[in-house]
Amino acid sequence: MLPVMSCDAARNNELGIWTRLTTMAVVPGPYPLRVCLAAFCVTVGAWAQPGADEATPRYSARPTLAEVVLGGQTVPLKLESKGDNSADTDYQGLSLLPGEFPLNIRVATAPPGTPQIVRLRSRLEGWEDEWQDHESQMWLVLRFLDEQNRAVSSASFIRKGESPGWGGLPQNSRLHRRVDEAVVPERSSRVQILLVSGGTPRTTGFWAVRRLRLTARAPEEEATAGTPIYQLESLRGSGLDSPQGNPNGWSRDGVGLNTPRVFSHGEGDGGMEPLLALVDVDPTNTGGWLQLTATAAPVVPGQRLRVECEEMHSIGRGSDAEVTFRALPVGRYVFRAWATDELGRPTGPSLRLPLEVRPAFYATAWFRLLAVGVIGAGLLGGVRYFTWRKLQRELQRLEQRRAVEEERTRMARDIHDEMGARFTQISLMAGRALKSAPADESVREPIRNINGAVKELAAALEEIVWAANPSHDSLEEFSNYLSQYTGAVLRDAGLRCRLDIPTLLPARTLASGLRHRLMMVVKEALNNALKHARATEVRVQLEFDGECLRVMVADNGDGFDRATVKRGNGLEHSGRRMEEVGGTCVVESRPGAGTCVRLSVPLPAEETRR
Amino acid sequence: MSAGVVIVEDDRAVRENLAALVRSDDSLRLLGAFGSAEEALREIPGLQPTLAVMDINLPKMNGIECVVRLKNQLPRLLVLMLTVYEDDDSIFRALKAGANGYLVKRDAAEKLLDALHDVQHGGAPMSAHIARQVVQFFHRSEKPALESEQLSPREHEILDLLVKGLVLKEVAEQLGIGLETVRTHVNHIYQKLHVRSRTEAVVKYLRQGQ
Repeated sequence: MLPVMSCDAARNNELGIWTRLTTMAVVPGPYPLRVCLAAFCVTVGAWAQPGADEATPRYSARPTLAEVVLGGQTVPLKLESKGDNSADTDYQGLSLLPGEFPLNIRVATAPPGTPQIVRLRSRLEGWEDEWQDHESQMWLVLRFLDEQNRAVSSASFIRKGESPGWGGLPQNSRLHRRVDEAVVPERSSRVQILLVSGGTPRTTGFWAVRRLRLTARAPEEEATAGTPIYQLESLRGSGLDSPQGNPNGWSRDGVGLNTPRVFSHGEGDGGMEPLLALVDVDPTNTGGWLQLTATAAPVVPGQRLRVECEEMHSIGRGSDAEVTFRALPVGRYVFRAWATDELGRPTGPSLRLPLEVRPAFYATAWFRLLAVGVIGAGLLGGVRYFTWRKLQRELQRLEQRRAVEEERTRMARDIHDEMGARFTQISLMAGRALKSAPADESVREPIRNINGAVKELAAALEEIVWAANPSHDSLEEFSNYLSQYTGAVLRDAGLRCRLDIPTLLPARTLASGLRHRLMMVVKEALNNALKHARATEVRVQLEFDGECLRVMVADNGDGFDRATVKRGNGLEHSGRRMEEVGGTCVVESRPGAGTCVRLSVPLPAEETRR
Repeated sequence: MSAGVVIVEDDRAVRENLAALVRSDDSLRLLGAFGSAEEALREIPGLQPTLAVMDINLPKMNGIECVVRLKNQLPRLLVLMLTVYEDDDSIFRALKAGANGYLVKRDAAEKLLDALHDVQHGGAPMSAHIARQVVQFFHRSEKPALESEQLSPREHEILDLLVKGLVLKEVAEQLGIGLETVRTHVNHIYQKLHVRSRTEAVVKYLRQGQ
């Protein structure tokens, strides 16, 4: 694929689409159209209308690294200074060990306030050849209308990535036939078709459709081909040789009025045939084609609808993206990200982050030699065959250990999935046994105890896996978990639960170790309320003032005198746990006045994540 | 008449135990139990079930995508999601995709049948942490919404109380309204969540199509 299309190339062989796109770009229009003009002026260069130069900054968007997180720790980033503003953004290389994964790289437009990236693609050179798009979608929607043209329901069909036959540019691509099916819901009397970009925020890209056809068949006509109820065999209407043409029976709409276009594609022997297309160059906009209600096809509830069309698309996302590498073999790589136009062609300098995955010590040549040497000495004194087997096993073990370290996070979850399934099985069997068990308590109680123990085990494991997963390293995730955990524990114990936890919190990182400690302390406090205090209500409060995170767990139970009662022990552990992370834990309790555990921990300010 | 139930769960032992549980209830009729989303999509539309019990983590296609596709074909199917992790944000994604309720697997033995009956009769459970995620979702939604897709002041009020940890009964008492009314409001919140997430893109078309 061409890195940046030159004007000559465009003149000679790519005239088809680009002259057309130029035409669409110069039609005067509201603001979104001017944005579109800016987008195309860069691409078509020499044909650009006067004033194009002012508009070029649209494509000056330059990807930068927003954050790199290695094994849960944010990595400080340094630029390789070259003093050349037009060149690629080069970062100083990162060196890592196989055990340090996962590696999470977040790319965004920078600095804030500069033009957004139209579409972002990335690639790990040395590992993959293809540019990767970050997932986003466009939609074909069937909207069902009742007698009064009110929407009753809708069925949506997703388009994402590149269609089969996509060849980098529309004129190099083949149209692909696609078929979807839906059932007509109750109260529907007509069906209206919509082609929409922006189903998910940040969608950008290109999608063209022709020979759109709806057929309907009643449930009893299962075997028949059905009756055609709508066909868009070829576009008719005015101005169809221009992107702003008006096809009969359709209207354009959306915040991004520039998105719906008429697009000509010369495939087959039909000459240049106009297609319905979406050209989305703005990650913040939504736009699409809307079939006019007057031409919406009649349907009958219960009918099965078949939506067929011939189409091509290349859909990605703009403005920012995130890539995670769970493991990489030892070697050197370069992570590159490029701002591209809506068709996926680079528009300017790229971002480069060299990565080196170093061999772990036991995978290095000298260590293996040493291992072979040591075991070789054993060979002299032992049975040859036996020691040869031992060497094999030893090497295998080292190999395995390396693999285990690389995928530790993933495996923790896999193991838990497996155990979770077994726990579920045991608990379900206990439930069934209880159903058929005699009324004799000496039989029923052990079964109930088994069930209770299994559920406690499952919950404990769940918390460990939650703490280990770096995707939960935020204040908001912690607050959601605190709310869920407290709610579930108190609900199971039949206690009233009152939560005072802000729903919306600033973005702040809470590392795995800290989250785990905080949860241990909260658990201890809840445990105290449940097991010893005879409480009927527990109140959990969370506050964050920008510097310090405070959590309070208060019950209305018996309370105790700390001087005489020993059971503050668990809570004293809590104090030590909080001191380890620079925080404090205070327990207030008096006999008859309930117990209140207050913990606080400083959360140092950092760059905002989003 | 008994309600037709299908089960989609990849672990054979768990699937058989769930099936036995469903069979033990006279008001439910087990129509089939499947080990993958692919098999489920092939078989379920022909069975026309009322209720589906769906595991979130399935090999290859996951349970959430399976729900989206099933709902396109069987818009009235009621789906109860099963999950190992209660904190998992995939529960919330499943609810957005049109699931009607969820159950943590370790509670399945005691609660599966009740949960199925609740879902069948329009009951809508909403715990504090799901309510939090609903509030966060509506707050972050980037696209403008139709008036009918925005939460009403009453629905906001109910969500706020749920976020504070109150159960439905306590919400009803606090607001001085009936439990059934609260349930109806919660159902509307789920509907709006579903519509909003599905048609975020087509919102303005809906406005225009009136």
